[in-house]
Amino acid sequence: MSDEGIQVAGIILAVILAVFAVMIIARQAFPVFEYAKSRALFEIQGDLGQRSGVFLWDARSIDIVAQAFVLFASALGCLAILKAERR
Amino acid sequence: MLTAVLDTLFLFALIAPIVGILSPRERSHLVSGSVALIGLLAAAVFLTNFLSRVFAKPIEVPLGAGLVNAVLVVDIPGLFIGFLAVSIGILVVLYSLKFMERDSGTPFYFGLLTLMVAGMVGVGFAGDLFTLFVFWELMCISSYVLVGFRTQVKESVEAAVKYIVMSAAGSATALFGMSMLYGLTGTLNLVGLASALASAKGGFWLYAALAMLITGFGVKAAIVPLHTWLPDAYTAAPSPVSTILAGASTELAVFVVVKLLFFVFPALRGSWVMFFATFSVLNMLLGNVVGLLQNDVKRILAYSSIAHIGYIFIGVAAGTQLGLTGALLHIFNHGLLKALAFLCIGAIIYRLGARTLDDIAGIGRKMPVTASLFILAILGLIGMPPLNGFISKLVLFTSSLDAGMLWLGVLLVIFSAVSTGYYLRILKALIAPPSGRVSEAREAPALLLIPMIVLAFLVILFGVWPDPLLSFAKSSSSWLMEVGRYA
Repeated sequence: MSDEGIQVAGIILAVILAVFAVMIIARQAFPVFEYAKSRALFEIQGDLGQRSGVFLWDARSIDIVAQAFVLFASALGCLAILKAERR
Repeated sequence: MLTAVLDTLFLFALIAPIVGILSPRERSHLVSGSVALIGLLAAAVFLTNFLSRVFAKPIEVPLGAGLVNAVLVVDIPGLFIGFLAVSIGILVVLYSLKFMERDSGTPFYFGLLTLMVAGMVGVGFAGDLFTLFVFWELMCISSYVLVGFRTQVKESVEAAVKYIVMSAAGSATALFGMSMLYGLTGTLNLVGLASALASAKGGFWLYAALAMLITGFGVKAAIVPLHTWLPDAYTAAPSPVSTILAGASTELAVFVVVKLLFFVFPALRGSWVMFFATFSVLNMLLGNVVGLLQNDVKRILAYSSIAHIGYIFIGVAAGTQLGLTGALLHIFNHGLLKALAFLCIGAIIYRLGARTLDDIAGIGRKMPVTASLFILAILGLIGMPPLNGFISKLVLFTSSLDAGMLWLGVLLVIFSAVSTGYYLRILKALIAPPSGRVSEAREAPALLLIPMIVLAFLVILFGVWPDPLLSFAKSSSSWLMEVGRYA
């Protein structure tokens, strides 16, 4: 089979699989917190913005610090890609 | 803040590019590389300090974190993979001091390399799926740029783009799987997930979450058919980058898959065992057969990695503690062997600028030390005693017998024999009589030889005296299989 033929076959297969997946997902109800030990995870009242900020710094501070280094890696990567080449 | 190891790595990843840029251009790679090296050595010392403390109980950071808190857990499996990442990182930085001297932008290179190691250690220590994902992305983003670091080389840029597209799709799939798991359990904490799913009976969405996680991390772990980025990336990346990709990054991805299966999803073992037996056969078959057809040494080593991931999955398919011990042991041993092999071909490329079997024919007579170390790596990869590859393959074989999967053990032996076909082609090229450009080649410089000799020493040491590594792997597997010990 030629490269173009394989590509067309691949696209058709991908579309069929996507339709198939949507059909299955539409029929299956998602059992929210089926296995959760506690369903009352957070009680949100009052100032949501402030509370979410407090939550992030109290509960996800490791992720936030690590995310800062993800951004640093991205910046470093951009500089590395755009560096001037030695002649 | 994030354990002494990660703090040190982050600090030196910040300092290395800055001091490199501020120093004179002709010495910038030495300055930034030395700073990165000091950071990695300090991280190794901190890792060793953890070793005596975590055997009794894992260290949790922050202390007393709840189910919704991001948490790092320094435990034996985390240290196991942390040691692999940091030790290969140290050797790669040392090697790069010489190998990358002709490249521009090396301060960024060393910064990214240190961040990549930090990402790998963070993934090993992550006690929460989202924390794992953030560190995973740190490792991935650094590695994308490192693969395409030589922007003037078309092959390198093409491989990097392919790697980015596939890996980003994989990361998105894994994130989707994580969100589903959160929807099902209300937590992303690994211990919390494990206890919530301990008696799970399955169900469509739980299987969907598992499939998405395995597919997502499976891209980086090069599970066939998600492996297609790997031969291009390993081949086109600068050799030190190929070394850390093959020796640590891919091994880490396999570790994550193994950790998820044995720690979070043991209740579904009956389902994933047969899948991984199939993946194991597919990886061994494709890696070894396609490897036979290659002429580029780095490509041969890349396909050999795919095959070795198949060997590791034999331990996963066994589904027992012995199987998990074998899988972890082979993750470590294969990491060391593949790192040594890539450093050796890198030294040949440094001297000769060529990497095909025809072009390097006879190099063994001109670079005897490099060739001898390369032969050692090849023998280890084949599984020859008394090298470390033999020990882990033996444990994997035993685990397949123990789990009543004799056919998988027999396939391990058969495919190891098949792999000898392409390894011997490399061997033949190394010992052939030199001609043409090869006649003018000289032995690799000392700075390239030192990391290779250190790795060769470890390959022999863990072959003749496997007890410490074996007990480390056994302890890791026992922690991964008994979630109650984390309580």
